[in-house]
Amino acid sequence: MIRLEALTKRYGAHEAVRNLSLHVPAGELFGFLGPNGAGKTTTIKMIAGLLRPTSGRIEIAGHDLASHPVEAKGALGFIPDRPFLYEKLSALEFMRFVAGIYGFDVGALNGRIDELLTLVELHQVRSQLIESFSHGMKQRLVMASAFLHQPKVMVVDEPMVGLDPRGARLIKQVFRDYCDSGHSVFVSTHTLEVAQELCDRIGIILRGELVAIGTMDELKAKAETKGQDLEEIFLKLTGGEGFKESEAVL
Amino acid sequence: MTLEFTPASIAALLAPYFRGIRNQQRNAGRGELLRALLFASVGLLFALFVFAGFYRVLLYIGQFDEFTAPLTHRVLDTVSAFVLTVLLASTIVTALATQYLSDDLSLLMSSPVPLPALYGARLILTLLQSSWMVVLFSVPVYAAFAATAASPSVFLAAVALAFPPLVLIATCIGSMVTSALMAAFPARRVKEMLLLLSALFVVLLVFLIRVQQPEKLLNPRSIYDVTEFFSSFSTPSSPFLPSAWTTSVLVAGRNGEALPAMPLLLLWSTSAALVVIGCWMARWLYGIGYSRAQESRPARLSSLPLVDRILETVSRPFEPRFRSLLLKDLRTFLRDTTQWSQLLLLVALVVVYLYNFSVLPANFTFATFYLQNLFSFLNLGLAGFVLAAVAVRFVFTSVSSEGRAFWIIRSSPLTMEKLLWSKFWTALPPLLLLSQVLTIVSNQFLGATLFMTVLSSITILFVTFGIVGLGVGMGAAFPKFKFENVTQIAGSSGGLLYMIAASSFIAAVLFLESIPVYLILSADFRGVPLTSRALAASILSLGLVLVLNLFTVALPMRWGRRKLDAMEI
Repeated sequence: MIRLEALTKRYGAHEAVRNLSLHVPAGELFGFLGPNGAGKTTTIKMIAGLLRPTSGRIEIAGHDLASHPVEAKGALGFIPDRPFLYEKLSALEFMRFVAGIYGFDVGALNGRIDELLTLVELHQVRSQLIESFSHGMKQRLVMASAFLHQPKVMVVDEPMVGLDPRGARLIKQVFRDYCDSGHSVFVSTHTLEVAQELCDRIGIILRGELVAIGTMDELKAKAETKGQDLEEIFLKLTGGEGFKESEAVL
Repeated sequence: MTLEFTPASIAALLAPYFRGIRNQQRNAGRGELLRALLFASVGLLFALFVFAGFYRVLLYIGQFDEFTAPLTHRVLDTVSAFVLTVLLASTIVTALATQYLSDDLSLLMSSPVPLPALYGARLILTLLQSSWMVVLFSVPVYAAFAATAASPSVFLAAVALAFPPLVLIATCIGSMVTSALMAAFPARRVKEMLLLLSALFVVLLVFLIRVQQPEKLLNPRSIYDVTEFFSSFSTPSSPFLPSAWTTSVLVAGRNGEALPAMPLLLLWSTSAALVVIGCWMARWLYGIGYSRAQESRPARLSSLPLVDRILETVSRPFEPRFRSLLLKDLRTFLRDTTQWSQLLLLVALVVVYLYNFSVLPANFTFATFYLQNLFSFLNLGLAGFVLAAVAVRFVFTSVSSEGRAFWIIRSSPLTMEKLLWSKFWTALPPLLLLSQVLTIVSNQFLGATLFMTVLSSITILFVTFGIVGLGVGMGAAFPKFKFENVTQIAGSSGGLLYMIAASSFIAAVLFLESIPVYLILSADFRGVPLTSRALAASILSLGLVLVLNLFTVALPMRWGRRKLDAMEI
């Protein structure tokens, strides 16, 4: 469903992503981890078509993003980390707007819009302007809109930021069900418990390069750690020794 | 450690603002420098124009011995009252942003900064941001007074002593009004109210000045016009008004007399007292107001269900993608007070434009055939320029107004080409209507021939396509998605380049059309048919106008699309 081939992104002399290749098949929930500035958001933005790769190739549901952007984007749902929306529209109007720009007859999608707004618990406030929503409500609205056109692939940047435990639980369940029905999710997160609990496979990126990829067991083997949790594996692979001195600093 | 209420603490609170400006200047690229240079040139031209106008009026007033003193007093009083009123209105709006809605306030409010110190620092910011334009406007005005004064140095000393406290008083009062409003109402309502009131205020000011027909002041035939002009403003001359205190100091300075102590004492003591009272009020009012500013109750003027229903119905026949964008753009526009309140200014602009033609001398319509048609032809250029000025605010900004939500469109299957054409077709109808009204009605007032009226109407029709295409295309080529206010987009370097490009385009159209217009009107005036050579030249010129218009739509649109496609967000 998502195929990245030798993906590279340079900003002047700085290489944000270097020669990244991976494949996320149908039905897989793929977690993309890495420390701050490792290249996660750059990768996600390239997949969503917001950034152009310096070199390499992105394929979404069999469509090349560079040569067939309309088809590729039509198969993709994107949830960014910061939900900038049209503040002067109501939630319902925003959903209808998204339906329109994906080329759907808005009238035919009214039922689905209602279902999705109910799912993300925004149906009661559907006529309120987005400017009055909290961060978490906006995030849930973006999620509802991303599912509106029934994409084959969902790309999510930091899904848990600003969500309350109920919202976080909802998102986890939605993503799992979505993958179980044959779709793919590519999710970048700092919340290691979420990645451990939810993801089928995990990729770890460090300074623009994929340093590890696999299931939890495969990562454990690679990190040569006896620990059971992802945090230990993550710190081993990305270098977490610096934390030892924090007590002295504080 | 807590910051005490001292000048040092206020300086520490202001430091990030000034360092930000310094860093911006250090990192300024060529675009910013060009923009600054253009702004400075336009500002200087405007200042020279204001200076020349006042200088001429003051020289003229100086010719009438018995009227000179009262008239000069009147003019100075009008200027002081104007400064006080405009500053009050400007401060009330600016204080809302600087003292209550600024992003950095959450950090400052959660830190142990005493509220009076924070208020004091923000008052200085408000003063700087709200008064710079009025102060710059005042420089050429007072320079003209100084140049015609008995003793320029005494007058300038009077200005230096009496003008700053007037500015400070207006700022303090404006800031207190905002504080009181913020303590009583939620921020969004206050913001809407103030934006609407400030737009109405500007409209009123434009009408007030225009209806007085200031051009009469340049007519050396009648002293009556000058007297009537200034007296018609009916500025209150109550001895309790700070503007009256300033005026009395300035009048004495202009006459080269000793400056009166009482008004100066009143000005400085009042401004000092207002600063102290403001900081004292801040102890209990600022916290309440800031807390209310966090409330996110929806704004009242934002929701008009009837308008929504009309928009839904009217847009129904359109293709889904275009309809979605159209509805979104119209709703966003109509619900954003910063946007729709600008329409009031637009209406004022159109009315003043047409009013200018309606007050032309009654015998103008009997002017010579050539003059009549020449004015009608030049009016085409003027209408085109007005159109470009409107377009830079409403069309050039259309792509950038997607703001930070642009990722939604960019990650969707909607192509940039479709987006730009949607913006084009959304902007075109209202501008076509505006351009036709401007041209046809002004031609009626001018008494233009049917030929010129029809030619103007058809030309402006094509020019509107060009202006809109240029606006959408260049707006996409110079996008500014991160902004606080849409007006910042129009004032960007891209906006200035657009105005230059649009003016050049209009000039080129006028140049190309001047050939057939001259040939056709000459033949008509002489009562002879067009020669075949003249006919060919006319057809060629008009054909070139058409081609120029087509290119002005197609090329910028293609350029804009390419730039947007290549853009990374």
